[in-house]
Parts: sequence; C-alpha cells; structure tokens
Amino acid sequence: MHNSKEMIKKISDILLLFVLAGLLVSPLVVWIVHPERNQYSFLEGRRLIDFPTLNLDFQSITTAAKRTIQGRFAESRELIQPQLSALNEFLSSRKKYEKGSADHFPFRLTLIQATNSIERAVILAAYDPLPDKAIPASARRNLLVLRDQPVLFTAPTIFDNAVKKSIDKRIENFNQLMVENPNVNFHAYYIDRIISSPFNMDGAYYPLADNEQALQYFEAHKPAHLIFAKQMLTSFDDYLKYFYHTDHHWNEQGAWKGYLGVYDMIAPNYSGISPKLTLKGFVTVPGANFCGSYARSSLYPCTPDPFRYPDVELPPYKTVVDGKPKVLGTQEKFRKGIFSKEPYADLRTAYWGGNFGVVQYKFENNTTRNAIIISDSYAKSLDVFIAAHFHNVYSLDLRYIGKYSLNKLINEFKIKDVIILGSQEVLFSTSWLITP
Amino acid sequence: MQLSSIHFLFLFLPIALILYFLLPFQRWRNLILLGVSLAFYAWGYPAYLLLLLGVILINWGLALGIGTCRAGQKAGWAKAVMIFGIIANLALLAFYKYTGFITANLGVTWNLTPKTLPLGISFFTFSAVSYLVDIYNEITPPSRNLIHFALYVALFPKILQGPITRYEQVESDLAQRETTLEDLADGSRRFIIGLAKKILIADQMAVIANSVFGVKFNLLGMDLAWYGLIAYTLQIYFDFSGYTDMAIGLGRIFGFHLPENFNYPYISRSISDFWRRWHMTLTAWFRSYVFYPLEFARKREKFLRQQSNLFIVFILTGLWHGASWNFVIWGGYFGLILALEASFLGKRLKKLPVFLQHFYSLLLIVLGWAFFRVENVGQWGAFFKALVGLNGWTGLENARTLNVLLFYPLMLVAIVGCTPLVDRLSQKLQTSQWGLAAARLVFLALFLLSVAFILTNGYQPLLYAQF
Repeated sequence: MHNSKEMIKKISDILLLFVLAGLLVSPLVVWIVHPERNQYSFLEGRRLIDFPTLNLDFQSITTAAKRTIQGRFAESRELIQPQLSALNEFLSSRKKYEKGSADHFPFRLTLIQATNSIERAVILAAYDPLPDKAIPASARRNLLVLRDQPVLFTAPTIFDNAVKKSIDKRIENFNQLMVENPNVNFHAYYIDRIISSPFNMDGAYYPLADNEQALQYFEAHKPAHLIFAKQMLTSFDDYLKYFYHTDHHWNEQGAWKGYLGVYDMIAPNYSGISPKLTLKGFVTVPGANFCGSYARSSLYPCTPDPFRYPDVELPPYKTVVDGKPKVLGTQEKFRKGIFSKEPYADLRTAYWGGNFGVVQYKFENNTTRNAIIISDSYAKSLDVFIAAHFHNVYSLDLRYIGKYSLNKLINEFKIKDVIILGSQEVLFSTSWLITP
Repeated sequence: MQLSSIHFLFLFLPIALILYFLLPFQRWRNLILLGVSLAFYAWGYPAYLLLLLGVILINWGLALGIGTCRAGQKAGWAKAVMIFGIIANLALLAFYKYTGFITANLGVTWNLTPKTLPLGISFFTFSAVSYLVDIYNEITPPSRNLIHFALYVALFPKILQGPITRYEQVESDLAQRETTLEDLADGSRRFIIGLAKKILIADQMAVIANSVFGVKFNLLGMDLAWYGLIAYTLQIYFDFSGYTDMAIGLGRIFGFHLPENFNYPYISRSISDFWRRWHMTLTAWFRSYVFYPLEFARKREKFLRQQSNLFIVFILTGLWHGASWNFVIWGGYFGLILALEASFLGKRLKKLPVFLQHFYSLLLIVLGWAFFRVENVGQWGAFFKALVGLNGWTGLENARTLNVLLFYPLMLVAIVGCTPLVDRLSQKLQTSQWGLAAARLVFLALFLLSVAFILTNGYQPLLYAQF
C-alpha cells in the first residue's frame, strides 16, 4: 500500500513537472518559431506590442573584425558603431519584452475571457443575496448590467463641489464667448445619459449620485442669452429605447430624436430655415451585429445590438476632414453589406466615420448661413442632418484640435450659429473649455 | 523584474532553468545562476547593477580581512574591519533610503539626494551585515569563493524581498547541492502556491485597499473603512508570504533551502507571538544583530532594560520598512505593545480565553496596518474617525460606488487561507492515492488561473520590494 502510494506520488510528480515544463517552455517556443507582428486586437481596440527585433548586419561585423585584426581601428569603429547601437536598443527595450510577452501569449484572449467568466461568477455569487436590480458587469470597470437582461450601462456619476466649480468655469466661458460675439446665436443642447439620470438603477446606492443635479445647477446659473434645450430620459425604458445596450452612444433613434430637438432649438432664431428632414424609417443592416464599447471593455457575453441607420433623403453635400476632401464613414459599403464581421468591430464608427478635429459639411442648398457644432462622437450620427439646414457647417471635436480660436473661426467662416451638443462632459467639464 | 510577471515566468525562468540544468558541474551551475541573478537584478534598473557588484566585492574583501585578522589573533583589527563594514553597508542603505527623509525633515535640499531606491537594498545590505558579523563571531568562516558569496547576496529568487538569509543557512547548498525529483516537485508546488497567493488573492484584495485608501477619508463610513483595512491586512500577508513561497519554491528548484518567513501570523495569541510568525527572518536578524547586542551592552541596567531594548529594536524595524514617520510610529507602536507584554500584559493575556487572546492580537495587528498603509500621518485622524464610526456606519462612498463589493466572497476565502485549515485539508486530501493525484491537478489549475489573471489584469507591484 505504502509503496503504491509512493509510486503514485512519484508518477503524479513527474506528470506535474512534465506538464509544467511544457507550459513554461511552449510560449517561448511559439515566440521563436512562429513570431507574429503588427497584430491588431479588435477586442481591445489597440495594436499589440511586438517584441523588439535585433537587426544586426553580420557582414559589417565580420568586416569590422577583419579591420581590427589589420589594425585599421578607425574603420572598424565606424563599422561596429551602428551594430552596437542596434544591440543596445534591443537590450534596453525592456518594456517591449514585458508587454510583448503578455500581448503575444498563446491563447491570450481565451485566457482573458476565462478570467472574465470567473470574475462574473464571483460577482454573481457576491450579489446573489442582495436585492440589486443591476450588478457589476466586470470586476475592473464601473459598468453595470441588468440582472435579467444583457443591457449594459454605466454606474452613476457624482455631483460635488468639484463639479460645481467646473460648471461655474464653463458658464464663465460661455459668458465670455457670448459677450465677444454678440451677433452669434449660442445654443447648447444637453443629452441626458443614464450616467447622470435619476433612472439609473444604481442611483439609490450612490449618496453622491448626480441625479441631474449638475444639469439643474447649470440651468439655474447659465447665461440668460444662451439658447438651451435638453433631451431627457424619462424612464429607464427611454435608455433601452434610445441608447445601445452594448455601447456608450445613443442609437439611431436617440440620434434622430436629437436632430429633431436641435432643429426645434435653432428654428426660432433662424428665420427661413428649411423644413425638417423627413424620416422614411430606420433601416436595419443585415448581418451587422454591433457589440460596442461596453461589451468590448468588459468582455461581457455580448448580445449584439442590431445596427440601424435613419433613412433620410439629404440634399447633395461634400465633406472636408481636417482640411482635406474626404467621404466620412463607409455608409455606401454598409448598404452593400461590406463591413467588418469581426466580433467587437466598431461598426458605429465605421458607418458614421471616426472622430476628427474639424469636419466641414458643404451643402448645396439655398441658404448662406453657416454654423459651428462643438461636440464629441455623439454628434457623428446627427451632425450631417443639422448641417443640411446650413450652407457650411464646421463640426469641431476639441479633443482632436490643437490650437484654435473660436472668435477667429467665427469671423473667418462667417458663423451665425454655434451649437454645443453633448452630455455632461461636453457641456459641463473644464476639459471642454472653449478657447475664445 | 517581478516573479509574478509574464516575462519572468515564460521568458526569463525557462531560459534560466534550461541553461542551469544543461550544465553538468556544480561550479558551472553556480556561475550561470549568478549570471541570471545579475541579469534579473539589472532588468529593473541596470545602473544599480554596479552598486550591487560593489557591495558584493567590498563585503567579500572585508570578510576575508576579518577572517585573516581572526586567524592571526588580531581580534581588535577584526573588530575594526567588521565595524567599518557595518558602517559602510548601513551608510549605503541610509544614503539611498533615508537621505530624502532626513533632508525633508531638516528642511534642506541636497542635490545628491537619490531619486530612486535600488531594488532589494534593504535586503542585500542586511545579508551583507549579517555575513560580516557572523564571520567576526566565527559562526561561519569567510568564503574564499567569490562566486559563492556573490550568489549568497544576489541569488535572484530572494534578492528583491528576502527571505533574509544568514550565510551559514546556504553555505552547504552553495558548495554542494543536488536537485532531486522531490526538490523539483515540492519547489514547483511551493512556487505555484506563492503565485496564486499573490495573483489570485493579494492582487484582488489590493483592488479594495487601493480604492478605499484612495478616497478622501471624510467620505468613508465605518463599514468601508474596516472593509478596506481588512483587505489591506490580507493583501500585505498574501503579497509578502506569496512572494516568499515563490522565492523558497524557486530556491528549492535550484537546490537551495531558504528559511521560512511566515507561520500563520494572523492566528497569533499575542503581539510577541505575531512577531515570531511575521517576517521571521527580519525579526531573527534584529534579534541576533541588534537586540542581543543591546541586551549584552546594557546587561548591568536593571530598570526596563528589556522593554526599552524592544522599543529601540522596533523603532529600527519600522524605519527599515520605509523612510517616513508612519513607519517609525508603526514600529514604535509595536515596540510599546511588546514592552507592555514583556512587563505584565503577556502574563495576563495568557490567563484570558484563547479567543480573546486572538481577538486582542488581531485587533492590534489590523490597527497597526492602518499606520502602515496611510503614509501621510496628517490623514490618520480622518481615517481613524471613520474607523471608529464618527462618520456613521456608511459614508458618502461605499463598496458599491467603488465597485469593490464583489470581492467579499474572495475576502472570506482569504481569511480562511490565513489559517492552517487549507494546509490541513490539503494534507488530508493527499493521504489517499487519488487525492494525491487530484492535488497535482489543483496545482496546475492554480498556475493556469494565475497566468490568466496576470494576462487580464496585470499584476500589482510587490509591496515589500519598495522597502
């Protein structure tokens, strides 16, 4: 009995060591035998870090050695110097080894998904005895998911003195812009998101939850002449209807509602504005399963959002992106069924176009009125509709613009309307202060 | 380089193992082990490799000097060389570790103040000091083999965080060692246990602790303050003991028998018991090289001698952990409790029911970690206010707002893991043949799981490496 136990111990030890050795060595073998470079991870939306490469010119090294033997040291030094630099760079790229070994680890994504599954199991166990209607979707990100359906959303944001100070600064900024440009209409359109809404499922657990306090504070203190409108969530069902369930953006219905709201906001101060665009319906792109930023960042098992766009007839127009003529987005390709089928591919950005500093919409219509829209990625799915009512519209994303002066742009482009469009971040945060 | 990083596990370690086991002779193996140890050290901050090499060379030379003086019956000279060596090592440690602290407290600026702390300096200078003293005391003869001594100081599994070894503990392994199948298997298992402790428990507890200690303390309620403090208590234990397990396991794979550093410290019945179980090699170092010499030097003093010596030793222990007042006070806090236990409290404690002894120890230990974690002494008031409930049971921040509520099941597992229960269960499991095989599968699963967690979440820096 004792002997057989010893034998089993020995065999299981050998097996353990054998498997462990295999596990330890196999990544190294894979990296050497099958090195992969320039890979893009759709899941993480980033390019993977590669191991550093050593590019030595062995002919130069051999020649340098010969020159040294011949006593021609100066020539030898000249030949060997670049090789030493290459070697030094290779050896000093420690961060690249560290990141490269993690990024190119065999079955990395499978292992990451396994970890996320385990973390979700822990979350379920932890919240099982609790009454929460929404639970964390991930252990590391402040994302929530409804217990009974795969709807992802962000945990509430907070309202405190720092937010108040930030709003005060923005109001001061708005005042300054309006004083310096008395003939321009300044509009602000607030997009209510679940992050600041009282209908956020987790709001009750957040003593400092915003619950629209920032909005109320802004409305109470905003400049009198700022033309202001808002698109509010009136229930959690509104969130389900107007926002993607896997992404932080509004969906086609939200964006269209936004267009209608912006139109109603600007129309009273825009005599002769062309009629509202007519929506023929929302077209679902067959086979386009959208798993957006929430699904991507939490790796929550994705139930894709159907990808739709509003079917609207627009007057002819051209776009200029950062000063160069460019067609924004790949809308025609989508209509032909050409788009990425990669899981977690950012279909929304692919369809509407990415974020750029300045996008100019040049419409061939009867008006000469020009406008500036200051917004973030939310605007991508509606600024073309707003632009249809103007001759030239310059859509600015301040995150992608270096130095600029709004006053200068207003004068240069003969701007009549400035429309600031967005949620809390765009309207209230100091990182979106507008340079006069 | 950290032992729990992907590039260590799958790049450095396999290469080191292959190179080591390919070589047939002990001498070559020592040489290659020294080479990989120096490469391991140089990885983090190559410039400090020269410093490490300097420490090795100087101490090796000094030790030979002490040995020669001893052999020539020149005890006075031997003592002088030893004292010079101790001062030189401590001066080096003080320069890198305490210059900033001293100049800041004196309100002066000094251009030579080091910006970074060489990794493991507190550990390898203490190893060097113990070596010099042991040679002077003729506990061990000086090593004539520079490679042996260099490996003693720089052996890569232990250089960053110990265990702090005495030369005599590894002397025979340096000269002659074999790695048996049992060594390999036990070492691997120990390494995996350490890795899992670090990645699956300590790093998860770190998420709670970092979140809680990262908010303004006036926003904390009593619930969150305790949740964060308990998480930190678990983090520091699993982080440090996990590293020690990895170091001991790796040592074993390479044929070394490194000393233990932990013995279930959170089941202590007194604070003196705690310090016999926590960071045992550091406590042993201070006992051998500070406490006993102090006791000897002050043997004629009767009044509170032991108590005051304990206090001095623990102030120094605190200071060893870091150059800031919170560590000094943390050391003083334990020094005071130990002095009280040595005076009367210890005897009275023993008369209490066992669970009260545990409660007393654990409460003081956990409170002690608050001093340790909150480095800004000015913030202590706010934190302790929250801890005793003066901000109410719940505050403006809570476990949900910080997204740390989900970790409580793991915290319960970690609490059980602080007791010998898991070890006993594992031993019981391994009494049967199939239990034995199943246990090996558990180790493999733990390894894979740890790797998966590192790939997903990265890893937290080792807490004790900064000391």
